[in-house]
Amino acid sequence: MRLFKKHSTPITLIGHDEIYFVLQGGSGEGQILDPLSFDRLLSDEADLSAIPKTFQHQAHSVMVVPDYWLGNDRFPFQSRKRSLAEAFVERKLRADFPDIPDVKDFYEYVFHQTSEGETAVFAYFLREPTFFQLYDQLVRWNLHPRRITTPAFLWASQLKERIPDFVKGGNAFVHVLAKECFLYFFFEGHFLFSRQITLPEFEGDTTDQIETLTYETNQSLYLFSQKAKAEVDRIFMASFGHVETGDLAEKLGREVQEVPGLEEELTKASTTIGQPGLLSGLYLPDLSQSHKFTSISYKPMEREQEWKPVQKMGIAVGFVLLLLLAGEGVLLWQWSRPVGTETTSGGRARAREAVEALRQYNEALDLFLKETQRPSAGKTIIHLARSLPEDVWIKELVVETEPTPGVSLAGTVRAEQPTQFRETLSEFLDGLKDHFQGTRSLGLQDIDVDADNCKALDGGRSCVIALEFGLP
Amino acid sequence: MMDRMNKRWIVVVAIWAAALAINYWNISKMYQIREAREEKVFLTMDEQFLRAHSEEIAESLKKREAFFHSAEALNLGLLTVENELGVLATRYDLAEVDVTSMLDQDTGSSIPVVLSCEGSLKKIVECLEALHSDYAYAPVTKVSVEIEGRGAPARCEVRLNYRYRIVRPETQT
Repeated sequence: MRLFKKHSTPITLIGHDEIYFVLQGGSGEGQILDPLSFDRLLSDEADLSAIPKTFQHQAHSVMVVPDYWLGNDRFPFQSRKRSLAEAFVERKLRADFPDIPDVKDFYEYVFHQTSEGETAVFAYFLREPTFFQLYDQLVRWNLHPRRITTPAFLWASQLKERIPDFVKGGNAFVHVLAKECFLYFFFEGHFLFSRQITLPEFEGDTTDQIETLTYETNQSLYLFSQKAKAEVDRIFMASFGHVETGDLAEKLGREVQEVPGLEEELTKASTTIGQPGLLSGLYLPDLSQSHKFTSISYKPMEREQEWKPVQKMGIAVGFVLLLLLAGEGVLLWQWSRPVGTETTSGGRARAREAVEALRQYNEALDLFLKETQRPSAGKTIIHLARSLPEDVWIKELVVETEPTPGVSLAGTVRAEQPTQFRETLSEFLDGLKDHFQGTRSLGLQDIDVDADNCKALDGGRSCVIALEFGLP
Repeated sequence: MMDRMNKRWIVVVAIWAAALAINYWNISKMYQIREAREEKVFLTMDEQFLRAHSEEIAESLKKREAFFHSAEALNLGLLTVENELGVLATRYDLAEVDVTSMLDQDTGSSIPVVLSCEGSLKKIVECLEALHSDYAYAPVTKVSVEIEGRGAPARCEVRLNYRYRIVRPETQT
């Protein structure tokens, strides 16, 4: 019992009207607990005590439901994007099953491409109302299964492992027990449908059983051809000694193959349910390895499970980061304290004094520089006077030392001959050039001569001139 | 079920938000520490500079004082400078002397003052040179000269920038 508690995979098996609780060990061995009827489980008075005690605290993992609780359909679909496919399948299920709103949360699908290149999605979904009641009840007790599968899916996983090219064409699998038989049909590896057949009582020979089996198999083959629009290519059989493979092959008129090694392995290591009915002879492989078989999950829970590692990692990494940053913060806070103390006490006053002293010093230097660069108005006038030729005299003079140092003057120039004007003005410009070194070079074009107002003066003519230039 | 997932998302977001907030706080703290240390380095450098150049600085500050006219009040300062300018102009035989202060253009530390006078250009230039050398607190910013004719006296308008500093009587220099 301890072994099961530690390493067991809790499984619930659904029969016709009862539920079985199974604890399975890692190698497939199992312990089937007492069955519980639906009536009892789904009644209003039912509580957790209805569940076997060993099961109450187990993380619930797999539920095996009858094949007929499962529906499947194939929808032509071009894209291979999972998000698009999921939205598409959910929309289809809502439209096809308006009376079962929860059907959209319990489905699985696979992308499928035919040999002709046609693409589609193969969708499996749970459509049995009892299932949804059952699931809701288990959710109340926090015992809801993470994965839901069927015997057909479990057989499919076994057959894919053992039969080469199982995923090609149509395949049938006949599972014969003492009093009943199960027929499973797969198309291109996908489960299509199954049937349960009650066989006649064994009365010395198997003729009646073979007859019934042959008839039912032929009926099913016809049904398959209608559903899949293809024929069954191969028939496999696991009879566990109840009937001979050759007898069925003879009656069917086609080959029936045994699955190599299957019966030996099942009878040796697996749990076989001894209950009659749907679960009779059900082989339970190791269901802890859920990736090995097709299963259906409650979609919101599946999404939660998908995101859970991301969230956990996010929390773990974030928490570690938070701790590191908090540690860093504490260190920084401690480091900042001495620095802060230094700057807040005497340091700040000292800094203010130093800054103020430097500011005053800088202001003084700026002032010295400004005053050094300021041209002397007196010297400017002297230079200007020295630059003046004999026949030029000033009428108005403006000397500016700030903001833009410059000279603006208006004067009179006298000449006896027109050509003398030019000579006098050139002489004036040469004088300016000599006395105001560093200024822009001046030319005759810079002197504005008011030729319209020239008048006679002392035997010659005098004209008013104007000139502006900047000081260095 | 979704509730559980949402709660986990809330925890994730809360933890990362807290991490980001602490990171932001740490970064700002680092800047604070760096600034404080830089400030300390600059302060040390400033102090070293002030110590090393204390004499030059003191001399410069002292020299700077010459560029400002210390007065207990602006009116008193103006009265003094107007009077001094008038005396100066008279000393250089300039006539029609008038000194006007542009009170409406007071900047708080300087005020334009206009000296108008009439005389020979030579005397005006000498007066300007005296202003330049002796009145550092009143630099000439503009000089306008008008001469009616050759040999005629010049009419002059000198614009000065009177720099002043209001001081308490005991700190007056």
